[in-house]
Amino acid sequence: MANNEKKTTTFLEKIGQIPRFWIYLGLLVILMLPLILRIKAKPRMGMETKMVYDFIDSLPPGSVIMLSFTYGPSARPELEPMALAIMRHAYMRGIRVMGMTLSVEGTGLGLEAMTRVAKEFEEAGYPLTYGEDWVYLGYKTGWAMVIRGIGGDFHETFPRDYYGNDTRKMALTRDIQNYDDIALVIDFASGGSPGSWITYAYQQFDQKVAAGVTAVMGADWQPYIRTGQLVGMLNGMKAAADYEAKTIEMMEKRFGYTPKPYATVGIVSVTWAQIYLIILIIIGNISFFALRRRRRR
Amino acid sequence: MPAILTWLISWKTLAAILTLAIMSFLYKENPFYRFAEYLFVGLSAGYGFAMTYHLAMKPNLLRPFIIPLLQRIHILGGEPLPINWWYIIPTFFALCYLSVIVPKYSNIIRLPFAFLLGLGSGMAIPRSFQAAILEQLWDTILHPKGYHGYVDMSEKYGWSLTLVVVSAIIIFVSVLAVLAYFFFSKPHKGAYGKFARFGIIILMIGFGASFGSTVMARFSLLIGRLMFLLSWISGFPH
Repeated sequence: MANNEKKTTTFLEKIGQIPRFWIYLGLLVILMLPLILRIKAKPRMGMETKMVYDFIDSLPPGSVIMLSFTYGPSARPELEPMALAIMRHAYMRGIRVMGMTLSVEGTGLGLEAMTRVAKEFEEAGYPLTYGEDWVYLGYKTGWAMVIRGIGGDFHETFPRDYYGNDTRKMALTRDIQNYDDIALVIDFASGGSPGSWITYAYQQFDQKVAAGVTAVMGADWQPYIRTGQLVGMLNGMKAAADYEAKTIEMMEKRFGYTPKPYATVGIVSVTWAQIYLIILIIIGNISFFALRRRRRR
Repeated sequence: MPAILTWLISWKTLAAILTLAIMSFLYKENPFYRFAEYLFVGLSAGYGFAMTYHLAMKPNLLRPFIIPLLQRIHILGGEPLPINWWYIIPTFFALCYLSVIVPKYSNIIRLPFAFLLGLGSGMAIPRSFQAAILEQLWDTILHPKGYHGYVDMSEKYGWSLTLVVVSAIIIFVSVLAVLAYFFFSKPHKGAYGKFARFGIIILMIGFGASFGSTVMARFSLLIGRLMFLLSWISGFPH
């Protein structure tokens, strides 16, 4: 009996002290498998994501939406697939897109994302024209002043685009005076910028605002959806995968072209890794409580 | 050049090596990790400075004011650019920041700070109060404005209105319970103590949800690098 108890205790001690190396190795294998085998998820769009999707879907062709790429490379894997998916959706609906950033780091990332989608549409046989279908305004310093500035006079805030073209002369931006001419602002953010868009664009100018945020921040912005301050929100890679799957399906149907999936592949790895982590937490807790019980005896 | 050499001598290979160097920290601290870390910090700072100079300082300060000013006092040549004299005010404030270099005049830095704080407070406080407090309060206390929101959501997404309202009541009670937990002027005993205990449970549920989301976010970032490494390996010439 005593021998049996000793064996059980030893086992519990062992599982509670799995070396870090094996835990990371297990995680690596679990993360890599779906990527190597290209296992794709069939996501179901969540309510907050659907709110953004429905809003964009309800806009008449020719409307203008503005994307704010306020993130750096560290948040790119989560936020870029969202931006790509929204641009695909917008272009397929005939909606024109302006891009800008409030973060220096986002300057190159925003341009890369917009160029990538333009290239996809070109490959799909539906070329987009710069200056008519899309414009990249680049980085503007000033954060809240920029957001307020757009509400006052768009051309004064952005006299030139990223390439130095006059925004008063470009087909897309020529007629944009202020937020009245922008149907929706979507802020892809790795920081607190959605708060500034809500505070200044929504509260002051009644501008429709949506947010695409990293999963870490998702819970912070959820209360703003029910109050109507955000028309919807894309939260982390799950939302990115939902939206991406939908737009890939749309492009396949319409153009017979499949854009490279990213979030739909990544989300399988995330799901597996979450399950792996839950199992580790359960094992750790069993070990902890069993050892504590033993010590009390 | 052989294909394998082209693959090896590429920016992508360099990025992959640096990624692996950073990941090597998971095993233990090592010189490769340190090198990659310092390189990253240095490059980020350099990139940030260069971008800020070209995208913020040049169009907003140098072109409209400093360069034309230097032209007028014949320090710079070239075709004369129009000058905007109003820019003398932000230029003065910008120079005030440099006063910290001379301790005797370092008090001058208070001027731009005071201006920025005043401007920021004036702009942010009324709007933030409306956005982050009043609107949220209406929603929490089932103000008619918030209730209309529930009806809209219920109709739009086919949810039962009862379910939406019940969830709103849960939020309301939870907010009160959490506030009760942080109210220390009254001892946490009896019914009040139990209510405050309910508050801490709600907080724990909230933290758990945040932790789950954080884990998902961190995995997403790791997946980004793993996908990059896989694309790098797949580029290996066969």
